[in-house]
Amino acid sequence: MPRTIQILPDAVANQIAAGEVVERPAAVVKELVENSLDAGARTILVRIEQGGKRTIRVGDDGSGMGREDALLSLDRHATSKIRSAEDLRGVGTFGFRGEALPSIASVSRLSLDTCARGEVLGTRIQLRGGMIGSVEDVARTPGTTITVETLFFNAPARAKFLSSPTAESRAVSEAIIPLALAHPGVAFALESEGRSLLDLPPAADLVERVLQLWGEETAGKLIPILAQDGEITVRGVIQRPDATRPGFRRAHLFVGGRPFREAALLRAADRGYRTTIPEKNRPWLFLFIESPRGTVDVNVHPTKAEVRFRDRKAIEELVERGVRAALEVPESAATFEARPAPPVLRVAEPPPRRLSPAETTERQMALFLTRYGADAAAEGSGDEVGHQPGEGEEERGAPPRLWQVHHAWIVAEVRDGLLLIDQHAAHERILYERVIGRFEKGGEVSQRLLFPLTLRLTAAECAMVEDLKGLLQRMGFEVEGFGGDTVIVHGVPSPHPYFDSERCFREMIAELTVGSELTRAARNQHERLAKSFACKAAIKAGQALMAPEIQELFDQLFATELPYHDVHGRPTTVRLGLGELERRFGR
Amino acid sequence: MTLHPLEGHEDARAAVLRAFLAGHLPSVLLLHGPTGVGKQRFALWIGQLLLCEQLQPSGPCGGCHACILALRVEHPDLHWYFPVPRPPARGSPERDQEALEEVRSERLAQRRETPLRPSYSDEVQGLHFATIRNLRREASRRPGMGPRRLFLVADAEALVAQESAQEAANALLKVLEEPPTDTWFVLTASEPGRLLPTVRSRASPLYLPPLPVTRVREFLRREWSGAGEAEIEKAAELSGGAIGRALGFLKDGEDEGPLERTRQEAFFLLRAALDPEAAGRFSRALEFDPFGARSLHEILTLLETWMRDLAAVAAGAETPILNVGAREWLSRTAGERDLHALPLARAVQVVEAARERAAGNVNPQLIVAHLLLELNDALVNRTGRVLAASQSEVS
Amino acid sequence: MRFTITRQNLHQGLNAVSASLPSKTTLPVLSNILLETTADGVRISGTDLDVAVRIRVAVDVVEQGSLTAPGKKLQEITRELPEGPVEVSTRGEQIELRCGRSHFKLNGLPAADFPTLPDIPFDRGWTASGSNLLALIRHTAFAVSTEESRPVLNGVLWELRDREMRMVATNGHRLAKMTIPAGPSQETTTQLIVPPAALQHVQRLFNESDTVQVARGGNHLGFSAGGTEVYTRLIDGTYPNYEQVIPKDNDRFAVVERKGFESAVRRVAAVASEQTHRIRMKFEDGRVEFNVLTPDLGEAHDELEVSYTGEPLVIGFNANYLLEVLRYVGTQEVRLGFKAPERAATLEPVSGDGEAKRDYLCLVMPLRLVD
Repeated sequence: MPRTIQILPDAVANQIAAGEVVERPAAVVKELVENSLDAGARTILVRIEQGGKRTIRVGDDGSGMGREDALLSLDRHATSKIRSAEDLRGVGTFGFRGEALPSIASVSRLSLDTCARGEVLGTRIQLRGGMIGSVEDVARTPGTTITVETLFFNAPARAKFLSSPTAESRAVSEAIIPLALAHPGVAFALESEGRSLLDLPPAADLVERVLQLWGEETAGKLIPILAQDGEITVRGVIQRPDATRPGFRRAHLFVGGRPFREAALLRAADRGYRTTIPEKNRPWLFLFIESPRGTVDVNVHPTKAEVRFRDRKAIEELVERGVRAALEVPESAATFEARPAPPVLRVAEPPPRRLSPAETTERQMALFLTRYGADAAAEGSGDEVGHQPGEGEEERGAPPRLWQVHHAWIVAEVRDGLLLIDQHAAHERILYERVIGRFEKGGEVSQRLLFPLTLRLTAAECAMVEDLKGLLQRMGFEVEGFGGDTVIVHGVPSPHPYFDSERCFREMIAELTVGSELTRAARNQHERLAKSFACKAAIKAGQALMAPEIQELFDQLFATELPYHDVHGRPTTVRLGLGELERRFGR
Repeated sequence: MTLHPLEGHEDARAAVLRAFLAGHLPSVLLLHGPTGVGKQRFALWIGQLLLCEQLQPSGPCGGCHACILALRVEHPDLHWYFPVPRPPARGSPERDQEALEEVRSERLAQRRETPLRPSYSDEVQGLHFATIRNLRREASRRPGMGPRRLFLVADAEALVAQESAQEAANALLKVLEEPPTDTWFVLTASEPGRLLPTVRSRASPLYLPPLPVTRVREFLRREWSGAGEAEIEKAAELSGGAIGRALGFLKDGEDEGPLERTRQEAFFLLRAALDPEAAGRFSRALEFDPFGARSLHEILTLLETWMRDLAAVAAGAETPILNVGAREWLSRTAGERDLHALPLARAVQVVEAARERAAGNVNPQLIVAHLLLELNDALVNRTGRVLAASQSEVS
Repeated sequence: MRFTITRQNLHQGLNAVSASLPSKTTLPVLSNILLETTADGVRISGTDLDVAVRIRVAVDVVEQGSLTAPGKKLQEITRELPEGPVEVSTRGEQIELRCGRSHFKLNGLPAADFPTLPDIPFDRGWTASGSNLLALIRHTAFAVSTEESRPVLNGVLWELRDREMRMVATNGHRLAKMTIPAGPSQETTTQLIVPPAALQHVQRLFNESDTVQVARGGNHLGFSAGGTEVYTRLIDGTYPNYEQVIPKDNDRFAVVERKGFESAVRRVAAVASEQTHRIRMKFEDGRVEFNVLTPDLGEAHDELEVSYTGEPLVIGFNANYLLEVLRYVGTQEVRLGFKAPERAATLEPVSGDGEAKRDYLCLVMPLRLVD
């Protein structure tokens, strides 16, 4: 029988941060399930009683162990995975430290049944408080089952800190979920007192696993994200902006397939969502980071929930950019309801399209046009500009047909169904990006007025105008103080033919002076002004538009960076796919 | 339906008529006075005065085409704006404005249908920005039929205490600053102190005092034929000289009037306060919604009338009581409980304090529980307690 | 009330009037039209309180009277009635229509519920030929502002003088001013601000060949010709002093051939920004150069021969404003006047052979690049 478990050299053992890994049943479950995954299990069954305080049983169909290995596994610092200190810095498999099982055994009554693949007879080892009581033969199929009973029976002080069985059960479930997300192909089940808490058959991919866990409503509103920078890759699925809500969120990060926590990365992802969702909303995220050996230290803490990246900034940027890019595509638009077929994303497979950091609005436009018709875009470049055509996209026809309905929405016929566009929200997005661009590069034009606007404002508003004079000018407002509470506007921007410059100016200055949810959500002065202007200046709902104006609005929208999202965090467009239409008509 | 005749306020009428005939009627008026005293009715009368085609020395003729339309609130130059509940948002200022106009239209139709209605509402209402924008657009045109016109902005306090208050108030201000020619604005407010100072400073105030109770009684007898004498008597006593308030105590078809229901609530509160069992008091408190102290304010006002009557009866005074018809219960209760005027006077202060709290944003359950405890202490146990103790008991 | 009218007359009358009925209103009676008999016929009126339309039709009146009735319903019914005489009568608050074997009863409201329409003294007003009046409206009303912040600019300024009437409209970006001859009048010079909706009704209801009487009554202005009357409420307020902004000191002038100039503007505007439509022109001796540069889109360059006098000038405009104004100027040749890149440009017709002489002037304010 081959020996695959080695005793760690002392030097290595010392290098491992000391600390207890076993603090509550959930931690036990996590360690044992990780061991099962390391052993190549395809099915892992967890049973608990009393929230795991009485019994925890983890059974798998993994490779199992021979008797010698089984005994070694119960010895502190025995591990089958690490051969030297050098390996520690690289990618570790889960239970690398080999300290989990002995630690657990030391505070419980533990029994281990295991049978190595190809063997007929297995081994049963029983321990009490870490002392081996018996070692005997047992008949079982390949795999390992570990039963932990009366955890902390010999450490009453620790036992006292355990929560109610319900809370502990929930914690156990939460310990399994990240592992289940990282291994969609593995079946997981969790039972408590004979009741099934989790039942996750093998899934094709991450999205299907999410579907199993949280249902259609969640899984149907996820969009894939993929960003690459050199050897670092971020991929996964994130919540579509229209599905995000404030309050509780699911955010699971993985590096090298192992869950970790890092608030800074979540913040980076949230930055990527900026302006596409209300400030208080917390998008769900499932992100897998692949980073080459040597750039990440996963052994910072014994519970292994934290990791240290050599270049965290780079990863944060990549996450932010990846989220941003994911929100640029039509799939990020709101749909009528969760799509019948959730997007397919196989975490283990090569990405559908690669994102280059320098992609610009032109690409967006071209992407849109290749997708929805118009030969024009292809003529000029002959290049697919980073977009690999999918099924049916080679059929290019006339530009999308557009209709305005109820003087508020635009309906566009597109290749795979209908797009419904909120004309005000869409124009907000257009103006927002335009103003931001003007702040950076200048070049706005101002319509001179025959009769300059003479506006009486409050003292605070006058001061605000004085402060913002330079920026207002860059937006196209040529303003001059007139002493006292009066300002004179000689020139105004003219974002559309129905623009009411005085009203826009007054409302914008009032909003900036008093503050609003919108302006408070802005990161800086430029954003604040751009948002306020976009909101006040955009074409209103109720405004009848002529055909060329509708076309213009449509074209401009899809020339923006984030055409599917307005500046309040609401969608600009809702998609009604042909599939959905057919389904609704029972086709 | 035609508006019922304006009751009382002869002095104010004469003053307005004199000023108008002399060409000095201020173009922005603020009518203030108690709720239900007839401020909006008075404003409509001013409108009729402005529009009447055959003005008499005594006021509008009441018979010309303009008067007939004005009395039916159908005159195109008589614009009546009042707080309405906010309709569901339609996604843009323009469409919200449309929705608000629809609501105003419906309410206007109701007011035309039943011009005599209690001055009472438990709805959350406001004068919204979109409404004022509509007013402003209308004001930019010259009058439509008559030589003059009137904009009545009722309950102008409702311009504040909502999110777009500043915008709405500023929009109104802009019109009031430079009123169009041949145009008058009348704002009404029962709490003029709550008006924005900028709005208040542009209006000439005119106070409408409460009417004598006898006037209220006579009016009810004349205009509200369905009610019995006892009911009218009670409503008049409780009206505080305001007809709109009196109407709240009269039956609305089969149903009790809204203020009568409130008065009964107040009575149950008083009874609960006298209940020696704490459990009874708390279960009473829990019947209140934890949110919205709006209706509670009115209940406490009416509770005070009960306290006042109880004190009067306990003191053996022969003065008329407000809660007409309850004298027997009052004197029996005062006797059984051995109630005296002094603790009752102290109890009134307790109610006052609770009313203050109800005006703020305090949980009504908490207010009531606390109130009942304190009243019970004052009336039954005759002890004083510190606030903190009672509050911890409540929570 | 009882009278007989031909289906065609009734239908035409109702059509003319129904267009003035409001779609939504706080006054229910306004969805009705008012039918009144007069000494020599019947009057049909409708109003949304901003505009009122009144049609007089000569009919034989059997019994005097008046009533209001649902306008849209009456219109729908008469549209489908067979040709022939229609007998209209009232019974209480009901109106009855009989035509051949068709018989309708509709509930109405008393005439007293209807707002009083203004009393316009047409004998004391102005007269203008329909063709002149319609041209006046057509050439100016387009320039009216839609910004609600300045209600006076939402209307057309109408100056009525002895033997002359003038209209001015502007949205602050461009302005149109036109003057036409009118009949003599005893009325003093009047400045009125007229809502464009009323002018649309005038365009709809009057013909080139009509002689239109125009008169003011209180807060209203009235138009009358051939039994059709349009009344409109006026906009309150003072119109800005437009004379002051019409440049007197323009010293650079170009005369351009309109069609060629228009098409050059349209060509280069194709490359202009979709939001500002800004094109840049450089005028110099004998030619004008067009330049457009839009960062994400591309650039355009074009040239035309024109006659130009004055110092060379570079100036930017919203192409749409230029094209719009050029279209209304209409003549083969157009004269443009300039002073400086931030000052108003003037556009005027240059009347060639066989072209009507018009007293017409447009201003367009330039677009300025800000940095």
